Amino acid sequence: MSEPCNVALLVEDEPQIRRFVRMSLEAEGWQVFTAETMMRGLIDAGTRKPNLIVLDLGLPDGDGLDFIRDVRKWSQVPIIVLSAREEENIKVKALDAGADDYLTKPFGVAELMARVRVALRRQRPSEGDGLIHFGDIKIDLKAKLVSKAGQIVHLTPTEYRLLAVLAANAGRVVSNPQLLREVWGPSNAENGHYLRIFMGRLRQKLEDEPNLPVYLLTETAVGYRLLTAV
Amino acid sequence: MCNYRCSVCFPHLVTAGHDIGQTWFILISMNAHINSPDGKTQGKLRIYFAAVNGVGKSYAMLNAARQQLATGRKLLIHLSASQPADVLALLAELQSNAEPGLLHVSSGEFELAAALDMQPGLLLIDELAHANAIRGRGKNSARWQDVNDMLMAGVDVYTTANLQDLEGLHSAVSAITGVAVTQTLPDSVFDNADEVILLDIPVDELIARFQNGQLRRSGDEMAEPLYRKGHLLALRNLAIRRNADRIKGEGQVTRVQARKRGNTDKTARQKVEYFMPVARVMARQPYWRAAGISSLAVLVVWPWQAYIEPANMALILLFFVIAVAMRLGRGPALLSSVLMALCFDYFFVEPRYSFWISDGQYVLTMLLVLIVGAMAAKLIADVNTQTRVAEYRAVRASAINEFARALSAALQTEQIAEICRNFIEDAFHARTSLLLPDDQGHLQYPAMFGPDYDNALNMSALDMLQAQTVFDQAAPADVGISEGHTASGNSLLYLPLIAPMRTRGVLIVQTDDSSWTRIAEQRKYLDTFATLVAIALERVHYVEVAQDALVSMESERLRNSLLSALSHDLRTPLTSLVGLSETLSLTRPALSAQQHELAVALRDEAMRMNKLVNNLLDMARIESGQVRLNLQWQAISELIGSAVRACQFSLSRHQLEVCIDDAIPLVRYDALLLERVLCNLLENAGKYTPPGSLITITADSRDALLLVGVSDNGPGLPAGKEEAIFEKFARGERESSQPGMGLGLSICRAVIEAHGGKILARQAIKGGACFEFQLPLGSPQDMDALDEMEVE
Repeated sequence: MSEPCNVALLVEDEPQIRRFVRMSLEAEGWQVFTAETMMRGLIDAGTRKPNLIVLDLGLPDGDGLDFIRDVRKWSQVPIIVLSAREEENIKVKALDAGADDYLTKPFGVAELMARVRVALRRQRPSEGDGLIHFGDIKIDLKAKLVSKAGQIVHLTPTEYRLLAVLAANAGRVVSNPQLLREVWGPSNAENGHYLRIFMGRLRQKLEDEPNLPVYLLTETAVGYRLLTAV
Repeated sequence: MCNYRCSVCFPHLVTAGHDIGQTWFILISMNAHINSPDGKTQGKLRIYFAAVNGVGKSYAMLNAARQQLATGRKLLIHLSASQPADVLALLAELQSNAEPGLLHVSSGEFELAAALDMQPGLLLIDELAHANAIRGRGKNSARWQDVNDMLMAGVDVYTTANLQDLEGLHSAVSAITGVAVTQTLPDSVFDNADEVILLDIPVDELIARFQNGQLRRSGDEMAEPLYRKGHLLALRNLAIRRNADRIKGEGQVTRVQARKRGNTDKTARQKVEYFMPVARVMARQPYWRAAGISSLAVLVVWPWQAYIEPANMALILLFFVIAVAMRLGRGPALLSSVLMALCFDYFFVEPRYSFWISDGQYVLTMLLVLIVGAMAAKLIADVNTQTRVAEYRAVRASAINEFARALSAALQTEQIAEICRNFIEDAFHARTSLLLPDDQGHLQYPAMFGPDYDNALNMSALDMLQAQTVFDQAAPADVGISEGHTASGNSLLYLPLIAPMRTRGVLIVQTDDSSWTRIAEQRKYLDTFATLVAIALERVHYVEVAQDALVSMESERLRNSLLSALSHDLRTPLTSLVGLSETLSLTRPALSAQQHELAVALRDEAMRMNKLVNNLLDMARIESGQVRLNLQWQAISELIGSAVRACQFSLSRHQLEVCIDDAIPLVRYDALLLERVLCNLLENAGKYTPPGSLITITADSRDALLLVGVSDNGPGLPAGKEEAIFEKFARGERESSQPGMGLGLSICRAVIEAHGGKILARQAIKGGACFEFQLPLGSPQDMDALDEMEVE
């Protein structure tokens, strides 16, 4: 998985966190540059041309959301944000501003690396056969067909669109507002209850145990994630 | 009418108080007098009213008789047999001083027919509640009925009554004192009396009198329980309140404060009388000056009479009249014009030195001098008055202006009180006191501070009661101003401070001269002051409200930033610990099995520490009231799914069963907080049951409630602690080896209660613990809109 010339930028003010994130990434073959402040981070993001940015949202010298917006003006580099548990709305805002995923402190190395892999996969779109597998479920994006254990699963158009959006971002969290926009249109960004109902129906049709889902996961108060590699 | 009557009645009271040698507080309340429908004048009823016997009602009543005797009215005094010595002495004094035939005294049973035949002007009779012993045809059973008949016959009646006599109160009095009351009086008699004079003396003095035996008469031995301090205080309070109730209607109230007074008053009065003639002369001085100027004028023109025509002479004299009018005003000008006319006739008109007028023309001239002089006098007097009024108004306007400006700079209630005191003292030469209510609307005694301490009004309980009445009734703006008098002739004026939102207090104004408060213009002026004070008080009130809001906003912000700083500082090292220990376990070359185990243990402990920190911070947030619910319509199955996933590490060695009713609609709650609740319950279940136990999660809806339960088949809850475990820092077992601080369940309760729900714990049916929380379902979402979207 690791590529020799991958460059990562870590923007984090805590030295110990910086140290272990750096070690974890380097163990996977990344070349890691670190920045302690947002200002420094922005400069490095311009000069080092990183393939990945890991950004702490709680930097002392500025709002992490501004950093994301700034970078997004000129680059599509994957950004993974680190934030505290209570700050759900900040997570949603970061995702909306263009962050790819988030990690809640404290987080483990395995979790971090899983997020990194997903983010990179999005950078290099799959081979383009339009097929997504997870468990015994197969989604054919070209034919708009979904099958479970070889059986065609009948989905309504809305259910299918919802699944398709999640599948297109497989492994990545998709925020509630983004899902609502993409499935129901921009005017429905506030109607969170649509999501609850349709996600419930999707789980009924796809999950073995709909009440304890393993693929269609809820990121409470943030959004949903389709976990393809369990 | 009120004021006239007051001035008639209060001197006796003063004397009475003096003779007894004690301070009396007396409250007089009057009803507007109503004549009987047939036009015949009814007598007036005055009741001397007190809480108990021994205050001196009979004495006060007899004292009033003394004055009435002097006016030549025919008096009938009827007293019950046993009377204290001072009353008997006063009675004897009255009898010896009275002119023959004017005073009749009787005792024993009251003979109505005989009394009516006697046709007295005034009847004084004690014990209005007395029940007549002799009954028979045409006889009344109670004394108050006799009194009523006397009143109907046009006889004024003074009588006495006690608080316990009132029918409406005697049960209350019995309850307080334990003394049974046998004779009662209908409340209507009391309420319809023309005047009620409430007599009151300090309780300690009353007790002393009782103990000295001054009050022992037949029948009073029974009353011993009455004369205990607590009882007396209660009765006294009740009497004052009952009297206040009486005056709440249209009645007028007059406050009389009779104080013990020494001889100084008498000498002062004598002094005034001695100086009166001098003062009168001084007051008339302008007339002397007018006469002097007139004579001078005649003397001045006298030598010129040969050269000046009499008609012109008249004009010159007229000039002096007008000069006098301008300088000295109306009266002197009139005097001067009369003098001038006479002098003109006497000195300048033929025949001279006689009032005879030969030429009729000069009669006209003389008359013209008189008339023009009078007219000039009037005109100039008017102009002077108007000038004075204009000047006065200008002064007033600038005073109001100054007052408003001073008030607008005031930032505190104390400042307003001080400004008010200073300005009103300047403008009205009156002392004031500002009474402000507390949060419950009870007026507080004025705060005494600063150099004005001695100047401040001495407020008695009666004053406060009066002020409270004014304050409470202020809703209609025209009610609530009542006047009172003190014995020294001082006048007390209670003004409600009515601001746009509500009444803000009562302003009490005390002046030495009561007459000015009755001048409409003065009153209006004072009302303007009161309104300004009210508005200033309201403004200060809202300034304080705004400041409080600002302070609480600021402290909320501070708490918030403190909490997030705390959260950040606690979590950062934990994140490092978790990450570093995990990195340690992943280092290459791989660690030995033992080292790896240590690294994993390190990580697990750090994660557990993280949970504790989360609970602590959550509790701090909830405690500080910083939790704002992010209510959204949510599916309960989703919540259970994500909670189980979040706790999968803690529950890895347990069996889990989930049972959710499919028919549960969406429910509005804060998903993050509720996930916390469910996680806490699941982790507790994992912690307190042995590995391999079964944990069951159920969700159900019933009676517009969502019911979610977490139960296990473990050892269950300690008996009797089902409620206590929700307390903060409470643990199931005191000496438990299980880690934790006992915050989890109290957080659960706080969150559920914030959602308007309930959480409870009980023993499960099959043994083990069962926690269940309920949330209100709320109104279900309209699903049609969703279904429509499916039609494509």
